[in-house]
Amino acid sequence: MGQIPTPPFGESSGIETDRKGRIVVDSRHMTSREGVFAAGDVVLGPSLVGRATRDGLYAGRDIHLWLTGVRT
Amino acid sequence: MKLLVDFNACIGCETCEAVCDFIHEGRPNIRVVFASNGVGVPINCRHCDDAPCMAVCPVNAITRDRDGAVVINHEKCIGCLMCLSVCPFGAISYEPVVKVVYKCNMCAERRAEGLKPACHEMCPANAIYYGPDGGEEKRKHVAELISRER
Repeated sequence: MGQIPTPPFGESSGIETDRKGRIVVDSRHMTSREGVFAAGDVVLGPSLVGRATRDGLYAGRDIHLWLTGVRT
Repeated sequence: MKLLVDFNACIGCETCEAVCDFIHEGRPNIRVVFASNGVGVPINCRHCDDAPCMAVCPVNAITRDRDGAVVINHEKCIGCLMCLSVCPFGAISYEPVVKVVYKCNMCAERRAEGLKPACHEMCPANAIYYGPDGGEEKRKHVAELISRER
């Protein structure tokens, strides 16, 4: 939660971040660690509420698709 | 019923656009346009009482449903773009693949289930009003309030 990954957040978590500390996700909002998803400011960087909301909504759908096995 | 935006209360956060985008699969019907002074102004269909798009449509594809929403029948639409040219708010968009126009239908699917439009539900500033038309008296009152605030 928040605009940056909540500490403690280190190399040991196995979640890749970019130069600015944002979490790197693929097109289905999954991080470099299988089964861990990220969305919002923590991925996009600080921005408008609406952009984070949109990312969260789409991430929710992607999580549902992944859990139900529709998209792997 | 009316779906109106209170521009004084709007904080320009784009939440309405985000939720509309999600519901309509990447084609939001409400868009936050930023004026030259940086103030966000959400632009959506006002479902006009005397709707010019309804009057101009040559195939009567635009009708008013029982809640007062102006809706487009995509099976009748021929994509002539007449409505697009007469809309005073520029609220209508064109889908070039299917060759039809689309716009806000006050969340027809949600209203059929007894829910309210998504943008009204999600707005964090409560700037989107959904409810009965207050009539001439209410409009006069609000216009006076706005002119006093400025």
